[in-house]
Amino acid sequence: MSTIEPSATDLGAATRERASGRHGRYWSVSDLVMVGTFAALAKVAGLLIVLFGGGMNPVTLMASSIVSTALLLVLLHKVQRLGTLTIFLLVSAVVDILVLGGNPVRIPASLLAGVLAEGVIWLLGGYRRMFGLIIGVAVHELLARAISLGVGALLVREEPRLLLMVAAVVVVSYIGSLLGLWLGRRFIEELRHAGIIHH
Amino acid sequence: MPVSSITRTAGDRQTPLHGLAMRTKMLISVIAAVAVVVLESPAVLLGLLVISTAYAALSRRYGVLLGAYLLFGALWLLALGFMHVMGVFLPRLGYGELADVVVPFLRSAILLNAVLAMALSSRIQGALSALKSLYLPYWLYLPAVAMVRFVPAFLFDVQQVGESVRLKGYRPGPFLLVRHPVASLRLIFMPLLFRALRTADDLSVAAELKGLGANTPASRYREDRFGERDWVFMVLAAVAIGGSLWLELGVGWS
Repeated sequence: MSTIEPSATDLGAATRERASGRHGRYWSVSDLVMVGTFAALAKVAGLLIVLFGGGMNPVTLMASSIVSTALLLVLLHKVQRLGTLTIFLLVSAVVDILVLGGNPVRIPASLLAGVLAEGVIWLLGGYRRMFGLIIGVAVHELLARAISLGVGALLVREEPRLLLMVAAVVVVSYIGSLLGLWLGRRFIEELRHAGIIHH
Repeated sequence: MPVSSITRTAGDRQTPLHGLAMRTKMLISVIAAVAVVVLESPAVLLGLLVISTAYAALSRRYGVLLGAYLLFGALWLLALGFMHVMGVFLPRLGYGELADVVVPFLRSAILLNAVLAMALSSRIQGALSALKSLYLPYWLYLPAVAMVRFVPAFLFDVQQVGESVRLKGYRPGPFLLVRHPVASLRLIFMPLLFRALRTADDLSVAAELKGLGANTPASRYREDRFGERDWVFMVLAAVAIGGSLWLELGVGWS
């Protein structure tokens, strides 16, 4: 698939340089494409894991959460710009609705979780600090699940006990997300070792 | 000259839903999502369920619809079974009134119909046209398009990585993940991540060459225009939702 010389592929630096110019935009093309690519990667990898892992069971749910959280951490470390997480979530939600038939209620929920997590990352020193990124992603994963459960609770408010099974699934997937943070760090180390991530 | 990526094959379905603009279907889904949160009456929700089922059936994908309903039913039975088990151990958490279980089921089923109608009658190109017609900002439109365009390249990468794993003497599949988790990371996930990063660079080059990000408006091959049919569906949806709200909040149906 790839036909570009390795030496010519560090577009991030080139377009970022242009974006930071007088008439440039905050977001460079390569950063935005990277966000879209990782959003697709997280979604398709999650779907493939559930598909090949024998459907929705605790193991595949956890594995899917591990991979998607790890990829999110790698993305945030690679595109170190405030707003990356929010765009990632918005794009995922929009494409979910258009292509996969996702619930439109997810958009405000995603936006809220993303903005709050971005706030946490900013308070902890910004995107350049790994500690802040890890805590920010952990907070986001928690908030996203809490908001989804809240929306679910609204839908089943007559019989809240129906949420018990969903809550159990959510806890399992959150444990997976926490493990995904460790895996994400490993991925980043590998990418740095390979010279793909320079910071 | 038509853009080569836009194709219309003989096998393309042309149902009433396929002729609707993506924006109409999205709007109907959003209105349905908000309405079901407000509505509480089983009778009113049942009426909406019948209407939404008819709406989803317009996609004429009866097999897929049936499969989705069966899966949905199985998940609900699973939830009820879970409640039953909880009730055995903790009687306080057992079943309540039947209506209390039926109402959440009806809400979810209406939502399912609204999103199935949209998902089963939309093509990728339609989604891209819809993204354009929604006048999303540049920073949202570009990643969304990259996301849609990345999937075929990624599936090709998965195939290639699978072949390389086979060459190394492993059998790719769920058992490899469980039996050799560290090797799976090295042999499957890292190569996929590397290739994804390269693909992202390729897509960036393509986007730059097409002039995206150069502060110039993009021309459109196909507009996602509102037609007469869209207005008819919008009015019907408004009548159905407005009527349901009136029956519950105005007349007091329960």
